[in-house]
Amino acid sequence: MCPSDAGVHGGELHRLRIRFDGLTVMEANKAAKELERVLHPLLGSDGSVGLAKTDNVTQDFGTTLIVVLGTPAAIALAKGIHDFVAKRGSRVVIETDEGKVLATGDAAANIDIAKAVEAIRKADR
Amino acid sequence: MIAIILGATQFPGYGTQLDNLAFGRSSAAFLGYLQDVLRLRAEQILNLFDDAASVIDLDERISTFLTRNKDSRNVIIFYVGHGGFLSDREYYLAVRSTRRGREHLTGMRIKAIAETLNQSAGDKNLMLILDCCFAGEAVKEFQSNDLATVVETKTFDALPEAGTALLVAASKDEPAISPAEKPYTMFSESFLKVLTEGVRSKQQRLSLRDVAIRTQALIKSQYGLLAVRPEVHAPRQKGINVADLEIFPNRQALAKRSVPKPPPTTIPQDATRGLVLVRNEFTVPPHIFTREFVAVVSDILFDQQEALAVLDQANHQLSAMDPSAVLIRRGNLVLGSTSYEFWQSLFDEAGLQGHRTIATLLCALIDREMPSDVIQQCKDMLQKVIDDYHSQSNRRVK
Repeated sequence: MCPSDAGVHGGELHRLRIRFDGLTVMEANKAAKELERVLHPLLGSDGSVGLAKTDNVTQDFGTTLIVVLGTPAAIALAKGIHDFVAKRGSRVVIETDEGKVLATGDAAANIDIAKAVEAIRKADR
Repeated sequence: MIAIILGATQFPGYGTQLDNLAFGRSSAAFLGYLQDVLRLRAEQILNLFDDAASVIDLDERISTFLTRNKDSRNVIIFYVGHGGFLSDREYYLAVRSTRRGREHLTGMRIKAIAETLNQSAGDKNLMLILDCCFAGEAVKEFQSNDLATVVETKTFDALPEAGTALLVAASKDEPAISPAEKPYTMFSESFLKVLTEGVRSKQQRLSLRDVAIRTQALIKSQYGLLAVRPEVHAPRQKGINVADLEIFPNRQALAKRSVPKPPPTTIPQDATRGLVLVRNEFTVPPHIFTREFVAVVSDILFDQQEALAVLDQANHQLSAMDPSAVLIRRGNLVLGSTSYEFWQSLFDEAGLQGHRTIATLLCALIDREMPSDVIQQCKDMLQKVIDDYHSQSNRRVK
């Protein structure tokens, strides 16, 4: 499902962006697709995740993930990204649709799951 | 020869996010080239561009088409669109029926295309032209695996000569670009220009490598630092390197054959004012040619054959002005080095000959297809050379 088309089936839904810093376009394409696969089963029936293009001139599928999730899925999302960072070492940034950074994680300092969940829960308030 | 065209303008499975009219124009222009220049008939072309069929149906039609044309030796496959990676990092291409989140089933995996081509056209010469991101990633899927290599080696004499070559818009690490304000993609714009206009100083037919080298130069001259450099690869060679097969008509060579030969040089009048008064009496001080200037020229004319063509033109003009003139010898140049070192050695050599030689070399540069700002730099440099000659002459008179 396209994230932007996700319907609201009751409860609070958050729309977030996940991007990768310091990777080439090629590596960011691969990382985004891998993380999409990790997150997809974690988001519940109301949630969705999909690639989005931030640069319209490139002939690729995009390097940013758009995630729509309900509040209960925030823990699973944060844990999923934490595990991905731990495995890949990529620098991952979770931010709101408006660009406000909620959490970052990389090989040196992985995301703090509790703080990330709290930031996601507060993001739309 | 037969040809297959793949790709799409619209990708409804992604909303409108991936739609790009430049893909449609690039595909249509290539189809026109196949029909008008290569003279392929309708039954020799399988146009699957913008076809809404599933990848399985597309694959079936490709296979049937290749089987039906089993007597054709050469197969061209052209794709324009989006390239990307599945979650297992496998490379694939988007077609019209590809759907978001279902790419593993609806995307056209390069590995699958390679398998189909191996089954249905393994005895043919395959030329794949891929205008999409990370297209260099496709090359490895067309390399023979270890077992196939052993079999091919042992039965080499019994197999028909055949191979595979790829011309890709971008390396495996780079995104291909479709500039927003342009009618074609960055790659197709220059690629089609080379195919339809030809290449100066080449034979009557061009190989894929000739086309690639000229396409690289055109993209570099037009986009500078933003250029994405196409690559040519020949991963499968059974007694033949398909990248070197001369199959594309060279419009420039054919035109030369049919019209009276023009003068070998067409040095523009505004650039040559005073040139005849400049002689080879003094050496040209090396500081006149700044590193920046040499770098600009070497960035634009990085193909050594192009650079040597400039030298040949300059030498020809020198001989025309003075049959006893000492020419620049290729043997004195740093051949096989980087483009910068080559051009530095060329300017050094010309500077040692004198002002007329280096002025003529600059005129030959001005005569090339280059960005207007670079031509202006060459004209400014020419004026500096002429001024330096007069300055040295005046000092000697005093």
